[in-house]
Amino acid sequence: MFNTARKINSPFALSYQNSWLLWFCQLMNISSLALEISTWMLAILALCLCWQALLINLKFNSNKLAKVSPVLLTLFAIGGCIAIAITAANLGVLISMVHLLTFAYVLKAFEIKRRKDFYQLLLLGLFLLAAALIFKQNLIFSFMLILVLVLNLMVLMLIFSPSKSLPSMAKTISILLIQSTVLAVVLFIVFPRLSPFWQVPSAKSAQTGLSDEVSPGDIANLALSNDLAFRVDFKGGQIPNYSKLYWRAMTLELYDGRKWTRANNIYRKAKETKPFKPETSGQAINYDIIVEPSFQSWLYGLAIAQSTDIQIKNSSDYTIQTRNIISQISHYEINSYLNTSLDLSIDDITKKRNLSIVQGSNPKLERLGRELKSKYVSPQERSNAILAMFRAEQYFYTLKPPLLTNNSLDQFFFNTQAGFCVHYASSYTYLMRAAGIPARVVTGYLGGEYNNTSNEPLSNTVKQQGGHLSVYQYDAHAWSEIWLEGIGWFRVDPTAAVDPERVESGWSSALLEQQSSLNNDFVDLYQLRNIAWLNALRLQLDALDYQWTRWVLGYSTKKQFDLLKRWFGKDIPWKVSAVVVGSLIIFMLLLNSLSRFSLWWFKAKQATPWLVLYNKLRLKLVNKGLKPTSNITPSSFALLVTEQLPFLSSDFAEFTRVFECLMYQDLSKKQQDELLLHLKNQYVKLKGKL
Amino acid sequence: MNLLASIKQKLNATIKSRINSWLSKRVPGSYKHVLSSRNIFIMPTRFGFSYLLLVTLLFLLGTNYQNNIILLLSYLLASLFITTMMHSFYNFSQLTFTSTKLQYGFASQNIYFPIQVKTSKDHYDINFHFYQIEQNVDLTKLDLCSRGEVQVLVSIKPELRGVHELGRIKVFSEYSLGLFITWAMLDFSHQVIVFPHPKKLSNHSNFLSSINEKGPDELEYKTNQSGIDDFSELKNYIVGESQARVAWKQLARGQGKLTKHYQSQQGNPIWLKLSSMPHTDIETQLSYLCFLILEYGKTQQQFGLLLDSNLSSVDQENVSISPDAGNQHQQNCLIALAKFNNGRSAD
Amino acid sequence: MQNVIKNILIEIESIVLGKPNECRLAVACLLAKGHLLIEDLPGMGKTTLAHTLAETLNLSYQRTQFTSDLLPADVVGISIFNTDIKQFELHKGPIFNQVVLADEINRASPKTQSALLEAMEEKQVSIDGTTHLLPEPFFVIATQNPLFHAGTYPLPESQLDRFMMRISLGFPDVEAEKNILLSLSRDRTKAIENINSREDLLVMQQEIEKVHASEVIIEYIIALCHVSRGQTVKGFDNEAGNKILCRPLSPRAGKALLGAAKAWAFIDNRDFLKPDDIKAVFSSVCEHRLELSGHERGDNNSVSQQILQAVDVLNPLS
Repeated sequence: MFNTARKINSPFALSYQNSWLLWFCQLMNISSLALEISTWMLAILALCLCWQALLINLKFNSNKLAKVSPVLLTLFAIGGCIAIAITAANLGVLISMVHLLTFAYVLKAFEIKRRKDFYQLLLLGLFLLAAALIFKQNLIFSFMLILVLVLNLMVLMLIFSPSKSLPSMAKTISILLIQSTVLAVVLFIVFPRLSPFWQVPSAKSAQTGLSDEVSPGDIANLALSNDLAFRVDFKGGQIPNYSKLYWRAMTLELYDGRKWTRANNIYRKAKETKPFKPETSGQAINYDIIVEPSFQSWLYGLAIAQSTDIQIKNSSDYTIQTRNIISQISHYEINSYLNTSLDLSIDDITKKRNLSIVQGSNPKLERLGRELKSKYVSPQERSNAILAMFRAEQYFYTLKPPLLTNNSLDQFFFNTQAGFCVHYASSYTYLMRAAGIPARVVTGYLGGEYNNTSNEPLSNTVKQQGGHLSVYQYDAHAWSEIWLEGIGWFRVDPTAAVDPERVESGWSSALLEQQSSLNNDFVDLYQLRNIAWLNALRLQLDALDYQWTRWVLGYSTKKQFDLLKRWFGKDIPWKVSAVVVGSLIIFMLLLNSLSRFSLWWFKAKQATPWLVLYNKLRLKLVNKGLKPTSNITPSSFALLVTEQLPFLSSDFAEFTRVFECLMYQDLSKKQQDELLLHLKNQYVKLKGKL
Repeated sequence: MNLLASIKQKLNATIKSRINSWLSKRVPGSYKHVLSSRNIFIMPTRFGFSYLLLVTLLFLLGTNYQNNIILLLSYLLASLFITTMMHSFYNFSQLTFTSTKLQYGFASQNIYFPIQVKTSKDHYDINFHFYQIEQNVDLTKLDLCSRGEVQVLVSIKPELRGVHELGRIKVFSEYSLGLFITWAMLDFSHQVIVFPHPKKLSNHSNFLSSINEKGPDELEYKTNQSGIDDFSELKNYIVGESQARVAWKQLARGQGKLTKHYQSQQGNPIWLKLSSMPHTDIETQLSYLCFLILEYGKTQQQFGLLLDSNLSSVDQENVSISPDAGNQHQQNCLIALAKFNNGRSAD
Repeated sequence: MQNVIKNILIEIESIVLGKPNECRLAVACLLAKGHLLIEDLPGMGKTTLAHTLAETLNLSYQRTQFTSDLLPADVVGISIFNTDIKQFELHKGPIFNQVVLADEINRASPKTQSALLEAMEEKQVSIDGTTHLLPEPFFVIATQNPLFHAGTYPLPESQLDRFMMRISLGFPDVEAEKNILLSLSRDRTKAIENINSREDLLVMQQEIEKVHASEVIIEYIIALCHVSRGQTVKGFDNEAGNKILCRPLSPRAGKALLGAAKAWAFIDNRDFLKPDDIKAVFSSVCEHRLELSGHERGDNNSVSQQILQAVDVLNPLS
């Protein structure tokens, strides 16, 4: 027996272990936001953390009272704030707030004098974690964040249980969190989603993905990125062939001799008159698209794509876009009519726009176009002639095209003859325009990676194709559309003539190899794909992330409403509040019974079956009016029973004898079992008599 | 303004007494307390409320950004709040405390009350302090109370001598995350008898009264304390007594076999008198007396104590303890000092 | 073997009238290889009990009256130069008997007391540098007078511990006293039969060591010791929260308790211990170890009872 109690009258101070844990926790918290913070700020933060580490080391290893001069700290803080204020205009409100928050978080650690300061630091840390979620929400990141949360809570717990080891503390925290998850999930499902209370600054991130002006070589850069662009869920329906998966994003009709741009008036016109509503016919395929934030308003769909969502508007070039830019993962539902023609008739302005070429910018191509026009009558023949040229001559499909002076298409077509999709689409479109056929460049994505690991049993009656399609940035593509009388806009992909594999089934291995040598990502997609189990793992992770995105991130107000309506029917508010309160109560009762059970279990583990049986019977006898003291021995108790309840005497004496043998005698396992059986029989007999 | 303050004070007093009477009904005094839902109180701490504020903030953040993960995080943290409440409660319950009622000590010194804590599982962060005493109360902290039994010493440092009721002891814990404070007000009927602070008295022999002075009526006093210092008497030999003590001289003279008996102390017993102490302040005088009692206790000398007052007040009664030696006697004298005129000095 | 025990008991009880429990304790003590301290007023049958025990078990026996002038050599023996054979000759003291009755042990000087007690503990004595083993079995019965302390040297606590049990015979009841008075003269030689052989006793002592003590029993003994050390909450006997005032029980006391209880169970014809055995011997084994100096005997009895009351038999260590 020793006394571990201690007196508390010293001011609040962190232990050595906790100081380092806090330091590490700060490091982790900040790294969760590291991608959003500008480099100079990261340098400052790193400096602060190093300083902090130095102080901790000094404090505990050399027993010197390492004090930071408050003046210095104040100056430092003011300096940092000024720097943030200056760069605020560039960074945008949200990012500067994040800068300010992290800066304050790091500085606060210098000033832990009272318990209050420590608490403030901790809450600030938790807020930082939440702020990190504004920018990134995928499964792996969320999971990492939970780990960091555990770390944060460990720092807190260490204050109250300094003797606990770190692993056991992590265990306790995990148990706490896992128990909390139950209620959290219920709240997540039923707690009413509210609409935003006020406008919040959104992240002013760089736009990713396709841009609205394209010059040859642009998409080749995009193709180096392994980031996810969007995912498609065909809801169990038939997925069209790979070669039909042309996800249109935008049409580029204007060409200034160097780059292709959008024709603004299409949209202006749409704004002026009534909203454009494409005419559709035939069988529609229905699918959901979950798009990653691109910080643009473009949406993707197979032509002709239509959405009923009021947030999505259709343009007259059959592209769709949102009213706001996509700053976070969003969902939309699309109906596509693959067999409907686009614009059977076009007006003169559009025709003129799609025929215009900048005279003299690419004279050779112009000449070739004119030749084609005179040589072939029908537009199809002219088109086929161009494609035949691509096929016949030594054109290369490459991610690393040679640079063109002034983006000259002539130079590409006649000299270098090596390029990526934009090169081919541009040249083809230019040639077609020169040959007198309206043509335009369309950008978007082609294909996608089919992942059926997320297959789920939707219904057993209809054999449905599960899985989802993941479309990555390297799937970005550009192709052409030509307008034909009676057919409308007709898709022609000159890339198919050069590299048919790209169009039929995706990237060729040569291209993949090229990509992996060009980009400097840590994870090499090309190698990843070649190792079977790694690839399977990657697909599995992708599927998990997809489900996460679909069910957790995609759980919108509308979905919640639908779900609740399905469950509760009418009177949703009442029932929801009942469920919330009810689950709260059940949750607490559950925890209560859990701890009671564990206590009981703990006790029961110690007690032998015969002791349990004896105590039960003893309790019954006590209820009969016997008053044994706790120190009475079984045989004395038997005497007491004989005295007071004579009708039990012989049976109880036998019961006691057997119990005593079990309790105190040295018996083999077999003997024990026999006696226990006997005891049980005796017990039943006595119970009957009682 | 004055009126308002007095009303406030009265209100506070009534509330306090109400709470106390309610407490004494709910958690009656006993030497043993087992913590259960009956006597445990639980409340969010200030940090707990700040934490809730943070959770609300996160909810707003999540709603404004329409960010499900932040919402989920806020729900998780909110549920954690409730889970922590339950865990705090279970960390605190099932503890068994026992303590003894009475302790002695000197004024301005730490007096420790041992409390036995017994558990069947591990408990963390158990703190103790006397909560009804405002001044000089230390917090005693038990970081880990592991399965079995631990003794905790809870200290107080009283300034005034006398018999003090210490009231309830507050046991609290902020485990596991500091969001909740669970506490219990345990009444062990703790009582402390505080002796005066001993004050050193140089050449104290000047202040000792002899038997000739006005003292208690026992003028002759013989000690029967046997010892080794001085010879006192001859007694008849009893078989088994040491041969070394046989008075051979007397034996030779034919006076029979006698043994010599010795005493450790000779002379008149010392009387310690309050009125003969220097200084006029009664507390200082008591402090001197305390010092003397301790001094004589150390040397095992016999002394008597007479607490008479030079103030001719009616409600005072003189206390006298006849001369004796030993720990028990010393203790009795000190208790007499502590209790002397206690009611008056407390006013 | 059990019959032997039974016969011994019957024999002893027929001599020491009206004290079956004490007789049984004395036999248990002997069987457990412990020494016995009988504390009683003169004339209560202490000597009779000791003598009967020795006779019944067919052991060599000698009684020594302890007085203040008794020297250690008087107890253990002395080497004396024999002029006839021109050699030192060992004169063995009374301690070289199998049963030694040390009457009024507290009258002897501490020196002599320690000589005896050392011999009891070591089971051997050293005389003039030679070590002599004491006979087997070796059993000391000491008596002391609780009253009339004048001129006595009370046994110190550390030496009291050497006795496995302390019993007091107490006054006989009316029936027994009547019988005592009726059988006017004691004819020892006639009354006592030798029932037992020395070998039987040794075998029994070995048998006793084999009596099974389950874990619960061991825990029970530990719990009793803990209570005496004030280690569990149940060390509080009353509502006021006062601890049981006693000296703590040492592990040796626990061992003695176990041994005595085993002998008790053996007499009861059992090969395992029950808590009843512990309870039966507890106050005899532990009372003199728990006693606080300066306290009256009357309290002491209740101290061991208080300790017994404080422990839950079925679940001792909780």
